[in-house]
Amino acid sequence: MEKKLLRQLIMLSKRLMYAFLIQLFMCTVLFANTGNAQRKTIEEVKVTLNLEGKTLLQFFRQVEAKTDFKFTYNDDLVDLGQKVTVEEKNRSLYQVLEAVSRQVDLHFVQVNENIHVKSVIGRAEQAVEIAQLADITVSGTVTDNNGEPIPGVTISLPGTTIGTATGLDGKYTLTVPEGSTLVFSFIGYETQSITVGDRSVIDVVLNEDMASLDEVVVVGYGTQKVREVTSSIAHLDESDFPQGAVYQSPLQLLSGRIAGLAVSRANGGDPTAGVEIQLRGVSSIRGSNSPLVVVDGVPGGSLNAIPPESIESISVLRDGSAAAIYGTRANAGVIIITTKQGVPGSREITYSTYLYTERYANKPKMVSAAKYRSLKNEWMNSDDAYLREIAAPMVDYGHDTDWFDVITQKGISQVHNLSMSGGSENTRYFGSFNFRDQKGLIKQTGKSELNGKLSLIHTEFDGKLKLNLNLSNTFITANPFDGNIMEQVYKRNPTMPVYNTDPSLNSYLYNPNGQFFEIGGYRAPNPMGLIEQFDRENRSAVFLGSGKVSFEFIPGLVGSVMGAYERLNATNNFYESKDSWASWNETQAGGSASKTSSLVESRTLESTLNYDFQLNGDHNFSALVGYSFQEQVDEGFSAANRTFLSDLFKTNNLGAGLQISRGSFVTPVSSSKSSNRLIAGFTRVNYNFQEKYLFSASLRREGSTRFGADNKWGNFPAVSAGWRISGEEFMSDSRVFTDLKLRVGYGVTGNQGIPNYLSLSRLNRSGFMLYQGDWIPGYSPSSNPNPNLRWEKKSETNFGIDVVFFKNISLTIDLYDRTTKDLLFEYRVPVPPNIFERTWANVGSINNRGIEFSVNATAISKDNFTWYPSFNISFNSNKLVSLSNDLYEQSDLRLALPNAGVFGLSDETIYRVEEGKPIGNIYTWEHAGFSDQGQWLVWNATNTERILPTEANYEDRRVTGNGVPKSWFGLNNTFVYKEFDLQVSLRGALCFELLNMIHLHRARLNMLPANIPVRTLDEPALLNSTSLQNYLDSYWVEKGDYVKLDNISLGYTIPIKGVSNLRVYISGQNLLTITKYKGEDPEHSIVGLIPSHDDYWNYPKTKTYSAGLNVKF
Amino acid sequence: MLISLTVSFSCTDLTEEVYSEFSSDKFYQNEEQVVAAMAPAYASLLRLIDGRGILIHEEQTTDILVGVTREYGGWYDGGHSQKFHEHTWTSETGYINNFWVHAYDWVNQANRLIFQFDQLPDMDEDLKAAFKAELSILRAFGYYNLLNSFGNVPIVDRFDVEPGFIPANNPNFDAGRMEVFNFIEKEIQDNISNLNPEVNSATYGRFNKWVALALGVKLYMNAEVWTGTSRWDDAIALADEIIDSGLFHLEADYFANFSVTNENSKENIFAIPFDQALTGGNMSNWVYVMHHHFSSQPTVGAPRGGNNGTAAVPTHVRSFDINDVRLKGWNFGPQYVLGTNTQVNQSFVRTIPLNFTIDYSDPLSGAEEGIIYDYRNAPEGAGARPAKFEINYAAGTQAANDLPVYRLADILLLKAEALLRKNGGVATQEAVDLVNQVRSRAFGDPNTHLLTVSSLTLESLLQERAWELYYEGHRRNDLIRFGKFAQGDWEWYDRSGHGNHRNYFPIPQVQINTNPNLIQNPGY
Repeated sequence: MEKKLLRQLIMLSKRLMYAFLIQLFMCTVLFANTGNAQRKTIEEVKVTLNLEGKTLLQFFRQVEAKTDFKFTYNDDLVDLGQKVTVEEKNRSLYQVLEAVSRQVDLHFVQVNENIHVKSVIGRAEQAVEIAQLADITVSGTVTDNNGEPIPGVTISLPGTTIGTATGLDGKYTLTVPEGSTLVFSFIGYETQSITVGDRSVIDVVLNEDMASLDEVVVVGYGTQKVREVTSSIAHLDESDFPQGAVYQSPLQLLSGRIAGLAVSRANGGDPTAGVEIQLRGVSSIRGSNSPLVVVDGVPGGSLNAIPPESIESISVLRDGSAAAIYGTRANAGVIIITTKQGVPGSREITYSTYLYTERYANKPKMVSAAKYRSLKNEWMNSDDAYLREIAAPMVDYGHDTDWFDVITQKGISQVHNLSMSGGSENTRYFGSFNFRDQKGLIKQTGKSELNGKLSLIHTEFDGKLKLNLNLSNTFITANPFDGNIMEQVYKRNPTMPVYNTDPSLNSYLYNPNGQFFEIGGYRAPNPMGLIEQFDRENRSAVFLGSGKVSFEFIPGLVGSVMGAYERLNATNNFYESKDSWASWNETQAGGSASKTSSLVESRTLESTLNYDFQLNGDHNFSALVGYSFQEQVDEGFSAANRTFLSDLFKTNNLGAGLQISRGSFVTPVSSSKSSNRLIAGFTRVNYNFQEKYLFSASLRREGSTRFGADNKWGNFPAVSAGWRISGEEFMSDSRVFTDLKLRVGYGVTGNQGIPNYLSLSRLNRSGFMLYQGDWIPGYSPSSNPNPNLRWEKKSETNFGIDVVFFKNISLTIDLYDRTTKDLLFEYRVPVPPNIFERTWANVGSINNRGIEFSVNATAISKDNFTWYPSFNISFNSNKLVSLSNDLYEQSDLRLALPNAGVFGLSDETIYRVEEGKPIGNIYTWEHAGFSDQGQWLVWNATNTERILPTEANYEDRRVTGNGVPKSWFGLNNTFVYKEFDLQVSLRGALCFELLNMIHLHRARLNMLPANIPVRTLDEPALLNSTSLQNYLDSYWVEKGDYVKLDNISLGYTIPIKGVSNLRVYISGQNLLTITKYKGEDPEHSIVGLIPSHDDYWNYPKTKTYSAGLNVKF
Repeated sequence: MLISLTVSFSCTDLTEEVYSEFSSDKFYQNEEQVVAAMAPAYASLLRLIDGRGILIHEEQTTDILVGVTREYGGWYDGGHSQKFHEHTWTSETGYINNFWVHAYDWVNQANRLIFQFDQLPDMDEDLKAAFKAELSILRAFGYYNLLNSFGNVPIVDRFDVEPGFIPANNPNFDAGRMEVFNFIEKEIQDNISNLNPEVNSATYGRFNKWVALALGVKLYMNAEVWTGTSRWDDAIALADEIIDSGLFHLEADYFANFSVTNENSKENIFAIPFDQALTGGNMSNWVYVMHHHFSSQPTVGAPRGGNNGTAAVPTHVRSFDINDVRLKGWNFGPQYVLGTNTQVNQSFVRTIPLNFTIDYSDPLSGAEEGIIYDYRNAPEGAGARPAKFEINYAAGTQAANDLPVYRLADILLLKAEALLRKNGGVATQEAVDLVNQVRSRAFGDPNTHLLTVSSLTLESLLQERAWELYYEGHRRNDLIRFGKFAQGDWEWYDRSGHGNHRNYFPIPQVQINTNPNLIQNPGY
């Protein structure tokens, strides 16, 4: 009984929603069946026509104008362009048609007031017929692929005014002449034509349209019909998202799905890290390279505030003409996220959950304990002095430890999302509750997140006043990862035990009281100690609230004001145990605790005035003016102490530590505050003529506090135009092109992603001076001030083609050329006269060019089986055009790796960025094999001589690879068979090289007292090499190209009455990587000037197995 | 709503608000702030030993110390250490630019402060004159270091340069080097009368009159090298002024000069003060971290293990008389936990007892055939380690020892040297007495091991300077003055063919890249 009631309630709420929709969009365009009274035949109707050599179409139009008859025909079968000549006075239409049929081999049948036109099939047929067909009444239900009824589907008889729409339950009834062909259409679904025959019940399943041109996309400050878009905007909505686990960031939804947008899991399986994204290449040196994220209209909104499950759609503004409306921060593109909102009349409750577990995607293979033992024994007795020398220091501690296994856990992560939405015509709501508990592969790492989200929309005064409220609160507890762990895991001797429980090993122990088996040495802590003796807990709360008031003053003129407040409050706790390796070996800290708090507040006020109007029905205008104010205030506080009596307090009693009271702690307390503001005015005009000739222009004038007093304001203009060729007459009968549009756009965007206050002359605390016997704190300049600091600006030209072939294949091609000028960078300046070696200034430029293809299709659509493939690929080439101007002169940048010292490479630069050359060049010596004595050799500059690396210099180096992939692609396939769905997504990056730092550091036999990769033993060159150093040459540069099986998921929709959708699925992520790269995983950092290299500090790459359930009432 | 639209459109204020720093116009409001402004100029002196600083430039290039590459690959360091020791550095070799930048930082800080003090109308005139004189000598000290390292460097003595101004050095190396020499000399002469003549805790670590005189002694001693004209009498005159002042005395205990509380040494003329809590800086690196072994913590009573980087050149340690107390400033032999007979293990590569061997041989098996052990491929324990600076266990990761820059023993030996050189390299009794003053302390007995007029030669004086002043950043300067640096022929091989331009460093390539007015030094 209750169930029944519930179901009825659900149906009712659904009906209300659809009732609203139908009223809004459909009913007004539908006409009732006018009935068949007083119908005349073509024999009774007389016409006078005088056409000489006119087209068949013109003939039809004239007849239609002079009579009540309509011609119906199939464009594909009837050539409307063929010429006819008709010179008849007051003749019956029947006779006229007979005359025409002789000229063009057509056959006319009058059915009621329609005249069906067909090609002549057989000569014997009568050229003109009158079929006095009986009307029959057809009824049925229209449903979608999931079996859900679709209300509001338009059912029409082409060429007539006969039509109706489905009701709330998806049912329809319509009286039509026998043998008619009905056309079922609905926005977002593929239109279907069905011949009635003599059936009286016709149930129809509509497929979602992959390339719907009536679809609306979100653009900056508004929405636009896909067909009217003139810039490069990629758009994904919920149905395009991957159907498996999403474990790192909402941006993972975009992975491999948008041409030109590179998404990289550079941080492997680290649950506390996000993914890296980069649009259309490296466009800045030191300014921000990440796209601006706009969350529900709030620029810079935090992704942390948005669970992936609550995202409705994502728009990516790729080119300058689209992004320029967001001027300032749009250089790297704009990603607009729209979250779900309530729909009137529909009450929907959804619950989705999934569980997943992670494993090494590719566990690195180091020498095992057994192998270590046998190598030692073999080499100890070798004739080769070198091998004896290698074996001598190898120590067999008698245990067998797989360090990669020791540090991992097989945790089960879980995600739950509960949402409800609905509302009346005046008030709509969406609320959700999201819980994610993520357990990382490495012990103690993980993240747990709780999000509550509420969105309300209320309208008053017949919809003229609209109030919009969005609240989202997220609470996060994260346990991050320490890169030093992996260094030790790679290094550690596999015969060592984990714990200090073997008394026979006491002579090796450096800290006999410790729980872990620890030895001394350089950077040699036990990795389990690094996990268990450290507490790292970062807690944060993110609040994002926005309110918007819109008012429609006159039809089409809407003014709105939006205010938003975002608050990120974070406290990071860190405690290092008294017993940690570093505590007793390096710092003598006796327990080390710190607590760091930060508060980031961001306030936004944006007001816009938008006016949409039409002139003469053909000229469509949309004009926008707006103002934007955004202020961000950052505050920080931190305190630390060391030397505690016991580990008990951790960070809960900092005052108990002794080091502050002993006066031997340099800076135990610190705090800071800074702020910046952005203020802008903007305007945009969109115009189109008959949706054929499209034009858009925008201008944003924006000011940032970060720049010099005279350079705070910048102008960011954009223009774009489009030509929908398919809207032209001559294309109207094209069988190939359903839609064809050319676009061209040009836009200027900016970048202000640099620290605050760089243009000012500031003094900051620095050092102490012994003055009259007392230590006086000093204040010294914070930076070389640059009052001329100004905007980094990118100008971009974009050509695009959007094509829809055969109604179900859509292809988009974009070509772009973007140049960033006045690059923000810390340029090297001469000392003196400058105080610091580097000054933030605007010098030089970078160019990126590329081409992007994306194809979406419905490859197969049969009764039970559909296949939607989509493929995208992009190619980018970039170049540092210049690094100099009148004041600053520099021809190249030489960049060292962070932490290079650990690899014995401190001060060694690895990347080189030169004028006229691409970014990401790996600049090393060229490996030249080994000498007879096993010495490492490299080529000299002229390739004439093989020399020792110790004799080689910088001039002998060359470009031996490039770390920036030239091409990214993604291939996504969705198969639906009855109730089963299967999604397979591949993605990859091509044409780049990777520096295998781990191999470089460990692949020498003299590293063996610790451990080396198994691979080394298969490299005769290394095995016999007497070189004791890791020389930086091309030997370590490997091809990085890869293809990944990014996501595969298999789902089953269980048809249960009363539940509108119930789907269960299993899925796997990153299950397979095809690559020639010999390290763990070639997917690495892609952002900035120091791209891909594989080193110790990364969290291991993981593959994920998940199982989930979605249920919708 | 219209109102709010209108209101919001009117806000276009982009004035920055600075919260955690001073904007320059809000500073220098009182004397305390003026002193605080001067502090960074002194704090920046700590960088004399930053980025390896004088360790790699003045010691590792000589017959005393070497940056060792260990057999496990440790401290290969891109080959830079080896290049310094082998005299094969180039303008791109690491660390050279650090030294340039740090020395010019002193110059820049002084220029900036002198300019800013001039802008303060309310500042006491006497105080202003004293501060400006002090900063001028600090700047001269910067130029002395630049002269010593690079020779012909651009002289910038003002802060308010035109925008876009970039300085130039003299196209002629010798002329340019002389200009720098003359600039320093004039700065000392012009400012000496405004400098504080007192020596007490209030002037400790500051550029007072005596520091300026010591700087002058150093300058004149090297005048022949830098200008081609010897100035021995000028050096002697300034040295006499210091010696005769009676304000400075040799400490009875040689190691008092390097103790944690070495600010109490009466021998200090100028030291750079370090504090374990306040100053930061790299004193702990200098004291023990750079050279001691990872496992040395319990053997030397350090708060942490070392990095096993630098070690002594064997000939230097072997040259000491076994009774010379100064030999105790080198740590070699088996390493025991303090106060016990327990030997610690070296355990990075080999788990065997740690033993700092003076020679770089293999401690396990002796040299295997085909494997040469030297500083480019040294066993973990190879090399004696500097130990003259006292280690303070309680200092945490920092160290509180002050860095002695000029001490009386140096001045005494320099005066003796000037006397010898004036006398055609032949000793006088006055010179012998000066050297013996220093030497007798080293043997704890005023009557033995003394030199005589016949045994004191320039050669033995240079040797004496090595024994007395090792690991204090003087050696490269001494060897050049004695004509033995670029001609260096010491363990492990002969550098003498590398050319006389090795007597100065090249101008760092990155500076030339950013400043087209700089002309590279000859030979590079």
